[in-house]
Amino acid sequence: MTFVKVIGIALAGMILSVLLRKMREEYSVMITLALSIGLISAAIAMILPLIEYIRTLSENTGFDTYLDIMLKACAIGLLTTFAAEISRDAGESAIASKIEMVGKCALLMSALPVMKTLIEAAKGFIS
Amino acid sequence: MDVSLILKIAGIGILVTTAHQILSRAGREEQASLVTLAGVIVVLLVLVQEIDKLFSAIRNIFGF
Repeated sequence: MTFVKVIGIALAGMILSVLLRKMREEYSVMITLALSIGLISAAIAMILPLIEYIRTLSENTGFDTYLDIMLKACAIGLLTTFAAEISRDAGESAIASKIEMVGKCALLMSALPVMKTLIEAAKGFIS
Repeated sequence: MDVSLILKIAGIGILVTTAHQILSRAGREEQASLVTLAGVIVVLLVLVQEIDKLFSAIRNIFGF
């Protein structure tokens, strides 16, 4: 799907969402949700060849585990921003900041193995 | 990315708003609120499937 088409659909959905906000608040949120899902899917479909290329590049370099962790962190960030921004748009900023907190905790936990490796390497240098 | 989903949700929203107004003008407040509830549930059922699709796609691509 081309870029221009995606932008057009996003604008049309935005206008529908604004139209329905006057009539019923909850459907506006749901349209935002559906549109966000579609846009994220389009973005991922667009970026998919790049991810595959990076995967093939890192195949024989020993960078695999770190690439997996990086991609996982990307996914966590993407999903957290998605959920938090929708909650914030719906007027629930308290829930949005809690979602972001959970995302940050998950991100830290997924980065823990890298931190461990780094500290082990530093220990090896010192002793 | 499907436009039909967004249009479907907007259509359900407009339909439910109309039904709500007609029913509340006719003095059936409780049925009007039930129609609203039914519309929300229908849209949520559609949306949950889409969210599930998105999550499984992200899980596949980013290797969760």
